[in-house]
Amino acid sequence: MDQQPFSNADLERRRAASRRLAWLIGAVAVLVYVVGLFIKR
Amino acid sequence: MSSITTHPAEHHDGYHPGGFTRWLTTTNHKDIGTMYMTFSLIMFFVGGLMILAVRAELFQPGLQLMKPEFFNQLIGVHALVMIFAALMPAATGFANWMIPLMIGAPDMALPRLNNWGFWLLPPAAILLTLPFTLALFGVGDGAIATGWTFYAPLSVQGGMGVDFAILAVHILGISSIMGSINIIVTIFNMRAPGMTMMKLPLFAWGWLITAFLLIATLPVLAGAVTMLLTDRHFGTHFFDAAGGGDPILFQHLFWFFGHPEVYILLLPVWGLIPHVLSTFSRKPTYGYKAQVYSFIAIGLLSVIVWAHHFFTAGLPVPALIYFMFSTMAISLPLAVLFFCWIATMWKGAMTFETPMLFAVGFIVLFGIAGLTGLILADVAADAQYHHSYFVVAHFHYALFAGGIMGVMTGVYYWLPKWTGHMYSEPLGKLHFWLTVVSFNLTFIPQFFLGLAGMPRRIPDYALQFAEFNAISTVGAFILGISQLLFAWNVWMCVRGGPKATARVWEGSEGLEWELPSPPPHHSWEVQPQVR
Amino acid sequence: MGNCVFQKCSRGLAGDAPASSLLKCLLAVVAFVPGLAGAEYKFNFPDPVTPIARETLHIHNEFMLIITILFVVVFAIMIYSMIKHRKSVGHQPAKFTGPTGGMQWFWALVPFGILLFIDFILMGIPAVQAIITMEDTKTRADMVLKVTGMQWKWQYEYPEAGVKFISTLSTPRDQITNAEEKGENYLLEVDKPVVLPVGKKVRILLTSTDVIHTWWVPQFGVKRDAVPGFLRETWVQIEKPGIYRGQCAELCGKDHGFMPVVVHAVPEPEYLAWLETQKAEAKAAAGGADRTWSSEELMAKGKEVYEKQCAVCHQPNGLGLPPAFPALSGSPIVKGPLLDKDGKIIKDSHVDRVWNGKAGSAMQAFRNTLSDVEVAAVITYERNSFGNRQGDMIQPAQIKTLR
Repeated sequence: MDQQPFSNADLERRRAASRRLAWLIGAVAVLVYVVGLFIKR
Repeated sequence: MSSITTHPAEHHDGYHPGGFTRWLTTTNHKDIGTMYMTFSLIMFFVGGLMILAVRAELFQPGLQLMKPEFFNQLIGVHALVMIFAALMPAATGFANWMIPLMIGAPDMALPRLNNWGFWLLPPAAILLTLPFTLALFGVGDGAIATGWTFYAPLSVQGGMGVDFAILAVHILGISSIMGSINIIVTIFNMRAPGMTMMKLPLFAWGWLITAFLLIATLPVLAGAVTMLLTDRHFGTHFFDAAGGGDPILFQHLFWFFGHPEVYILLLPVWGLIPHVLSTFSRKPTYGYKAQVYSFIAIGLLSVIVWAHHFFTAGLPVPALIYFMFSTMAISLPLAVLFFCWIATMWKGAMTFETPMLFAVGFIVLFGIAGLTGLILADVAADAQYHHSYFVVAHFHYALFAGGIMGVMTGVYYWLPKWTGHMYSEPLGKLHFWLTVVSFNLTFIPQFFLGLAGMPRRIPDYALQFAEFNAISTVGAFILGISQLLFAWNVWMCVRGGPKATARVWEGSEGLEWELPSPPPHHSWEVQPQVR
Repeated sequence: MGNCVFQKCSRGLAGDAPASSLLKCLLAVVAFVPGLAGAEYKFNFPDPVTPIARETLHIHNEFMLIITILFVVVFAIMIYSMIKHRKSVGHQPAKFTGPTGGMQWFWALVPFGILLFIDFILMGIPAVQAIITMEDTKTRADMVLKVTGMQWKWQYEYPEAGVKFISTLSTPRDQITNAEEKGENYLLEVDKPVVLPVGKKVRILLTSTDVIHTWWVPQFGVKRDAVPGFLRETWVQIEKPGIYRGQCAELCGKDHGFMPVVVHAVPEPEYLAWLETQKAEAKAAAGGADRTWSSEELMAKGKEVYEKQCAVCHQPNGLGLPPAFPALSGSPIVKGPLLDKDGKIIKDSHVDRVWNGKAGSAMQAFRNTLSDVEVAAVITYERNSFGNRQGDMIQPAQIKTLR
């Protein structure tokens, strides 16, 4: 436990990646919801 | 709980509100984890009180305490509260507290989303329980009375309690989806260097699969209850035969979510049990890879077995046969998990502090759940078990002995880390034994009630069911009262107690045990070394 | 008797594996316990009286034995470990994290293989056979019974004979509210049970008029949903005469626990005789629509129908349980017109409500449930009771024209 802290740039890159992925997953969730409304037997 | 900051002021100019504002606006994963756990404990008692009222009514044949309409409300809201407001928030609380600590991340990837995810919960809980209060004042006729499964057309008929429940479910669902998104992106993007996916602690793996399941299935539930809402108020006929719809469509949609939901409730527990077993056996986890693959297999299988919840609804024969075999298939990865748990203990050097007691109790009692689940999968025999007390007993073994006792394992295990104090070990052991004995006293008779022919969800019953119902009620009250010991122990531990070390337990391994107990407000300011 | 059981066990030990001998001992003891206890303790399905019920019981017993053995074996191993591999007895922890060497792979894979065999072969194949048999409702069926679930009663129909009647719980209210001692068949007794012939394959068709109900008679091994708007099927062939009782098994509203199923299985000649009397009764009731009824007759009949069919929701005093079950006393609908000048139904009128029900509510359509006489009588009764004083009445013949 002796290295430098997470660099701000590193953290920012990780957080940006997280935000992108989060929007993508959210879109998938909405897509599943919409498709579910159209399911008929 | 004071927040100790040991870092330079450059991060955020020392803004640390106290009191209510702190809790309302916090984006700190530990604070949010604490709020989830507190909310869960309160709702656990709310749901517990409801079912004690039910069991009091069921103590003897005849209607003594309440009208059947009210009984039907209590059983459904009990289930919704326990599943959505007690178990799921507890699991989410664990995830929030422990995942960043375990993977060497400073916090969750999306801290503000985290805060929103939590604060959706109290309004949702109020929505669920408000109809009870409204009915007392003559507004509406009470809470949802269809059982937690909302089956149409009964739910189309129901009063405003159903609408409240639909709204509550939407909000709870959005909260869980937010939490799941956060967990997935945190695990993918925020691991400290050196922590590869195959070094990820099993608890994180369990939650990763859980999160994907939630994303895949909660929207389907949301769709189903939306369709129910429009059938109720906006003239659609999704579930009405006269309009070209089909009531069974609702069951397909509901259980497409409903079955994965039970694994959503259990996977976080299956993820944390190996940590506890390894610690108290002083032995590394057995079969790490096998457990990871089993989690994935169970996750995948869980979405293709849903119809076993309604075998008597008149499904075609090929469907019955398919769903029977796919359901039985789940026993295989589950057996792998049991094998690995016991193999972790085998040839260890065990001690039996409270977390280990709960872990072992979990394995045995959840084993009963799994085995009775296997026979329920048999379509031929299921004709007798379906919608009888046999099923009620089975799923309480799965969700109380599996889910709740699993949560208690985690709480006793991690409470010293969270608070910096040791809980009372004698009280913990007493809580364990009272819980296990009274739990079995409550639910073993229910297996036999089901076999004898007692249906579910009835407020009154024929005389031959009297003895086992009486025993079950006695067990339930002892079980309920014993949980006060747990709440007391947790409360006292939060307030003080013998100091806990960073390592807390002799055999514990993992990044989270390298931080002090309690961890500083900002943990992992300095990147950890992953070995 | 106790001695013999244990002797058997000790002789068995020579040949059987110890675990299954012990198990047999335990099972024998457990089987005794109910008898010793004397109270009503039941540990298994009630006696089967159909081929399906016997098959189900057999599958259940076999499966229970298997899972009991699995449970005992696995947890014996775990408990052994908890005793031997403890820190307090000085055991040193091993370091293995997976199977090392062939023997360990064997111990890991064999249980997996056994489970696979149990699931897919041992239990799976007989289950498939059983399912196909259970779902084969049409082969060699001797007769048809149509079951209609309603909130909160069952309607039974013998389509070939033209016989139809409703079967309602007959346990007195006072027993339920603990004002009276409970009878032997508390909550499992009805006014008009189903009668079926022994030894004949009965094809059962099920549907519902409102919400999903489930028809369940444990001794028949039969449980099937009654879905509104759809027809479901199952079958029974009852082997022994007797009275068989069951209940609704799908939450269907407030009186879900109060709509039992009672079947009298009798020898075929008795069944046929019963059917004849039912046909005669049906004819007499239908004939009632061809004459004029006096208001006293309508009120008397109406009271009878009201108490059986309507009071459960609208209450004996007509005050209802608003908002779900409106009051009839002082109701604008009840005080409104009967039929229009051509004798047809007026939308949302009193007759419309009783005849067609109210969509989206628990008020069902009674036109197929009640006869012309019963509909006319109950409408007349409601208009002249609970403080309502319409002074009018409606004749069965007028209702008959609505069909």
